[in-house]
Amino acid sequence: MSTPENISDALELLADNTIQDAETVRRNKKKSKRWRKWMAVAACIALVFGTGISAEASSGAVSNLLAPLFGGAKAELVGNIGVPVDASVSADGYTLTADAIIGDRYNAAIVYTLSSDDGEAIPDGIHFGSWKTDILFTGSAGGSLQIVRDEEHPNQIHLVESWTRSIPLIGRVATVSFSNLSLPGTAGEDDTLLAQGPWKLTYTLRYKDSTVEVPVDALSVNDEFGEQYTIKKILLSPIGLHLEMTAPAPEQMDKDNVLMQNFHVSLLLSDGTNIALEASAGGSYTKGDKTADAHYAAMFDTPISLEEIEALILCDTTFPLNLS
Amino acid sequence: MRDEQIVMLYWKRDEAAIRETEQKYGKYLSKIAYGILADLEDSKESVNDTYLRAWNSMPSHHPSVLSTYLGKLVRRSSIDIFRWRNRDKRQVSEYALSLSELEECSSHSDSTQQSVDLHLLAETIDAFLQTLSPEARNIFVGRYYFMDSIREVAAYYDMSESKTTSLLHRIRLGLKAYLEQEGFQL
Repeated sequence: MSTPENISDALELLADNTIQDAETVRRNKKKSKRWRKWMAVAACIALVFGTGISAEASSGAVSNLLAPLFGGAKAELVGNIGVPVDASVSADGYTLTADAIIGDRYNAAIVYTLSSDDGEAIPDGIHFGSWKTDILFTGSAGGSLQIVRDEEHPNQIHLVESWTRSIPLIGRVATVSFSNLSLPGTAGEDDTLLAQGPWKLTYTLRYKDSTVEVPVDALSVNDEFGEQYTIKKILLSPIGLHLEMTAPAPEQMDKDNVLMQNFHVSLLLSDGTNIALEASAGGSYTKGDKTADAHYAAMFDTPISLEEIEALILCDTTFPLNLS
Repeated sequence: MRDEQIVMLYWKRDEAAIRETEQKYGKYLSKIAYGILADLEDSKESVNDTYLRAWNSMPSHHPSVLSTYLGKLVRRSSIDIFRWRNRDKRQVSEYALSLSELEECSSHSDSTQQSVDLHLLAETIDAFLQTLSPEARNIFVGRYYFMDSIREVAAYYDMSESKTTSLLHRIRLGLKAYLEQEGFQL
């Protein structure tokens, strides 16, 4: 008989080229639509806080610069929550600068600019062979790094590094290290190294925390299979949502025995728009328990003013927010 | 540094091999370890164990693609740590979630009673994967070998998570039928 563990163990013995093909796809994975929007935000913020825009930036008119991208209300929102960190390092002919942070208690997006010191254009498709970020923290985590080109300045690219954590981020010290700036090779072939680096920055995660705790009194909701979740805490900000709850332990579920897989959340906006969230979720439980301590964390596609969010739709339950 | 140069450092017993490996593949290995263990300290232990295994195995091994070789080492190390430390308490990690999903195409017996030729099973699974489109094959390997989350796997081809979940479900059912056809008892 073959068990799930057998199948998982057998995958180690797959042909190397099967694994390498998947590895190539992983490395070159397409940017999701959601990140295309965030990268546009990043490019604007980097532009605002970079040199050469001193007049508008120093006057505090960040909102005006971002308005063409988001429309007046949202631009004002982004202007409130982005804070420059002003950390910079040069190595091997390139300069990396941390421009700004957008964040709430559990989510943060950091915008960097990498520029070639000699003004030469940076090739398409480049990536860092090694990227490591250490933040003093514990708990489950998710993070990503996306690169977006600066169409107006070919010698620059912007990087958006995002983290979602299950513990608060504000005030923690982050050390980020990028190295081996490279052009990717195909499966079995090495990358072409452009510059080794490393570019190492250490900075404190200081930004305006726009998190709001929404009062909730042990709200119970049910998924499509009738399984019950009890929401204990709702933390909402213009960029994300964090929920703490108890969820049915996978062993207790009749269908799809994966923790939190059937728990879905949407935002209902005041104009009637329904936005389904894509989230990361996790938790822990002891074998034999009926419930698990779980959390749900989502970053929004674009910042949303809290006044625009009329309700959360948690599985089959609409939970009005009354934040305006 | 190219893979060939790093492997030569191992063969020369030059400790710079570990530094170069960490610099080039540290993040890659940590990601695989964390997908299995969902714990930073355990992941660090697994990655450090992987460096030791690499040091002890070269020579005599001479991998041509170091990422694949190291990836297998860290995957094995992480799964061993996971099984040892989660005998009673279930830490929810992508590995644990993937095992739950793979129950759909396997038996539910206690793994301690299993008796199966892993090489034969691997050959059969590989043969099945070759019947799939490259997209489906890479998504399966990404989910169940690399332990990428549904969200990350969906990003391979810019698919929605629900579409990715459905595709994986169909692949698991197909694998189940293929294994039964090839004589594996499920």
